[in-house]
Amino acid sequence: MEHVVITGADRGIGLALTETFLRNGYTVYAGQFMPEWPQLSDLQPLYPQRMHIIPLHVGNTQSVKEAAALVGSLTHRVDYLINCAGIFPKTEDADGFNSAFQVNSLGPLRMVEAFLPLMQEGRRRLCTFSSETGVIPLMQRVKDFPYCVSKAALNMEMHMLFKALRPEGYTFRLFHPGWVKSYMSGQKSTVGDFEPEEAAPVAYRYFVSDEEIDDVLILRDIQGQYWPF
Amino acid sequence: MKEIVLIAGTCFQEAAGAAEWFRQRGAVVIEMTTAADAAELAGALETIQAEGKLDYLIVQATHRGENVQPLGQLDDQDISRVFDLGVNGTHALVEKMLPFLRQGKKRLGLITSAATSTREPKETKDFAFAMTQAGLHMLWKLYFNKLRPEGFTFRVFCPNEDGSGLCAGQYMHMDFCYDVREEYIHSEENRIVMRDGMMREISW
Repeated sequence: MEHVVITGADRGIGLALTETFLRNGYTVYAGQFMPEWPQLSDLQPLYPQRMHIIPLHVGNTQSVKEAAALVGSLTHRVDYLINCAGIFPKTEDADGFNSAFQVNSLGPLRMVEAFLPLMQEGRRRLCTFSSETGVIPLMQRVKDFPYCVSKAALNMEMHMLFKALRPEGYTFRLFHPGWVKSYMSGQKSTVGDFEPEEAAPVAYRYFVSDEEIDDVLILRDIQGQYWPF
Repeated sequence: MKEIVLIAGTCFQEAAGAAEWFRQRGAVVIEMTTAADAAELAGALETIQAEGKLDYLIVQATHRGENVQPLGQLDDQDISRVFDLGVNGTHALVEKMLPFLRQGKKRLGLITSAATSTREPKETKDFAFAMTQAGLHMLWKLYFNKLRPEGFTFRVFCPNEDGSGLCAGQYMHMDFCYDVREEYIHSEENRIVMRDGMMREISW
């Protein structure tokens, strides 16, 4: 049985991905940022042995360390780390840039650092939700500066992690889910091309697939297309 | 009419060199040691308001992490500090200067580092430096998208490490081919690319 850590599992695509992994027999450590949001807790009774809710705020180093310690008390190995948590700031000022950077860019870095010891004995797969908004040559937007900057920084970080960890046998999956009706702005978006429940199975298949290109860092979208960056 | 040039980041030798280059050519050059220095910004604003316009805003924010540690011991506060200094400092500066740039030549220049090309990062240890530069590259691309229709032009320059080739001042000053009668794609000013001192394009 393989073990999966998922950040941002409270709702949206994180919740749908948690459910997908559980349905497929994995043990899931679901990062919970919003204990007041009921959906994640409602799922737990269906999988009492294989689902663990882990308090987790990826924007806070101490919280990430405590989450890693808690997961480490439950298992000696993690096979998949899935960085799903993300925010879309409401303001285009320093607060907006900083909050996006803390969660979208540094969050995955904190997670990788904290969970590396638990991943040594596992499958060593690092999966991250990136975005076309981090692809500089293809950027077409004229707004959403903090979000796009945070995703560009994330993509740089992933390249650096890839250089450091690929030689140790780690494999990477970067996924651009497309325009999902997500909760990133605080409430569920009424517009978008995909429901979270549509995007999650595609992400799942990509993340667990062993038939991908592993020696080049690739960003792939929900339609299976590649985004060079 | 004299050109008015604001260069932020003259604590770095490339930006300082650009300031000297423009000054030798008779421009009015205003220097800020970093893009995020509030006192220097106030002084710069005073001068630019008196001039009534700004022709060039050139920024270098290639700050390094002060506590670069191996993976597993990264100092995220240091990384956040560098990001704040670089991205927030630069963004706030550009926003302040836009009204004056609109009265001038409308050129936004960024001095960066080829070591932080996302596709081939030569920087492998200093996450603060590399992630911040990637953020700045995206910031310039976003400004290009937003401001190019107003006639703004953009330069992103990676000085050669050995000092060969063009200096930052030369590259920032060059006008590239543009003819309004031509197809949009037939103009260098309608693209934004990163170049080194030999004018080679560097992958973002």
